[in-house]
Amino acid sequence: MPAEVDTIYLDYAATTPVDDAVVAAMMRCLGRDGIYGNPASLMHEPGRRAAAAVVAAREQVASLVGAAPREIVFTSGATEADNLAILGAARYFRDRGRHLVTSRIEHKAVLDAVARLEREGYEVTRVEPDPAGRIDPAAVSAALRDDTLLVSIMWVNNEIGVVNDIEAIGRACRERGVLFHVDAAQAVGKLPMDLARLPVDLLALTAHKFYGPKGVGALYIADRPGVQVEPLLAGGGQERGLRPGTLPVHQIVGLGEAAAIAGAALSAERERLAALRARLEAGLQGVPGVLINGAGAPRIPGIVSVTVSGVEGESLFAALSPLAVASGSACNTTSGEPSYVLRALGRDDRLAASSVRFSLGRYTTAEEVERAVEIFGDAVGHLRRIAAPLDGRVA
Amino acid sequence: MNYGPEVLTLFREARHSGTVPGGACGYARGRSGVVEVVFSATMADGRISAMRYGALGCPWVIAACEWACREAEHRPLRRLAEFDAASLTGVLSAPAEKTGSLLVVEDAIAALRANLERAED
Repeated sequence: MPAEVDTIYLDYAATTPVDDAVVAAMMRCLGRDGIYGNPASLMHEPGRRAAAAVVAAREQVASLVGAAPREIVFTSGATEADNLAILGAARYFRDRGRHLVTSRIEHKAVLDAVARLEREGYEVTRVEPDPAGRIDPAAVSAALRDDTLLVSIMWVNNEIGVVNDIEAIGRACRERGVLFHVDAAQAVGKLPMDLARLPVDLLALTAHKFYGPKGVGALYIADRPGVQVEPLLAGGGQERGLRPGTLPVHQIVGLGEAAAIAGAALSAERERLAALRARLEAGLQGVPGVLINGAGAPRIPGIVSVTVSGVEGESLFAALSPLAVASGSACNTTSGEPSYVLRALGRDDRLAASSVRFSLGRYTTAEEVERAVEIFGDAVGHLRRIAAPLDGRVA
Repeated sequence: MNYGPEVLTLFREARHSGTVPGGACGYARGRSGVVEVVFSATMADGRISAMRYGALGCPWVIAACEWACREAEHRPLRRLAEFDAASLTGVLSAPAEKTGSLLVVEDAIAALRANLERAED
């Protein structure tokens, strides 16, 4: 077993550290000398300065995803944006249809919002992923009915990093006149995105997945006829009445700055992460009994999910302790249940529990990747040696 | 999960993992199949001369097995009777939800003890 060393953070899919330039931008909005005004108070200078900062941030976010600024509604994060999209659209168009389509491996923010509608009398079809974890556009198309109101499919799966064919799914929805919502929490800032040319109606994003602050995100609402949501909150008229409440200027400025940085670095960062991922995967696959989840499907460069046979999950994580990695989805680990995503891919409970998600990011170095491979190999070797006397008995 | 320093040390060192060649064995498996433990040991002059284990389980299980081996070696066989789930829970300050896993360790120790007694007769 390796001695305790400094933590190597490889959990960027759970959250990212806030970029220093983002912190600096946010700090300019705090304190008595900062941009502290209420952006709705346009009758005075502090308010106008705040409003200008929000306008600039909205443009930065819109630019990152290829949208128009008026199509961006600020929220508290992707969970709220997903809820506003799904619950808001279902309620606004309640007379149009009572059927929804999603997949079994969406984030809980989507699954729980859809389940709420199901309790309210909506019908839900949950499409199964293919063995690699991808949602087949044909399967989504086949699930559409005359009364289907909305389809919600994630762009990138948060546990295994598989990238869905959003354009094909969106096209199928558009042909049938069905609203298409995309949870893009793991995609924005990591994949090139041009929503102006994609058949996507609603898209959720969050700042903290791309080096912005926690507590702020946005919902893209396509500016085209037939795309509308009912607000979840009652209050002031902020965000065109769709998300009332005084705008958190420092958070929004942080989101905007993070978006600008991510957009400028996107292409180079993808290449760099792809090279690091190749190195990581090669190293992990050198350990016998390791399977890459989602292998064979297009995957985002920053996420590598592996399943390890012959070890127990909790011990694996304890043995990996210098590594900050995830067991399935970080949002799911509080439940203590094996990952429903990995179970949907056919992993049994034991294998799902002994699965590890490595997620790389802006500050990951080649040395950290090499060290992670070494620690992983040592941990698996240690646990297999302890289990070896059970050989012939181990299920 | 927060593990105490003693649990982490036992888990990481795991010096007694392995098998005692030619020794008696005691095996137990949890209902869910997630926890499995096997002990092996030999006796000399009425005392346990060597004791080893194999385990598939959480750090508490591995730490409990390691602790039991360290405590049992060079002591009379009856010492094993003291290693039940309650005592293991206390020694390791294990949380209540780990009692089921530690019962598997208790069962394996009990099976080992029975087999060692049989071999002594």
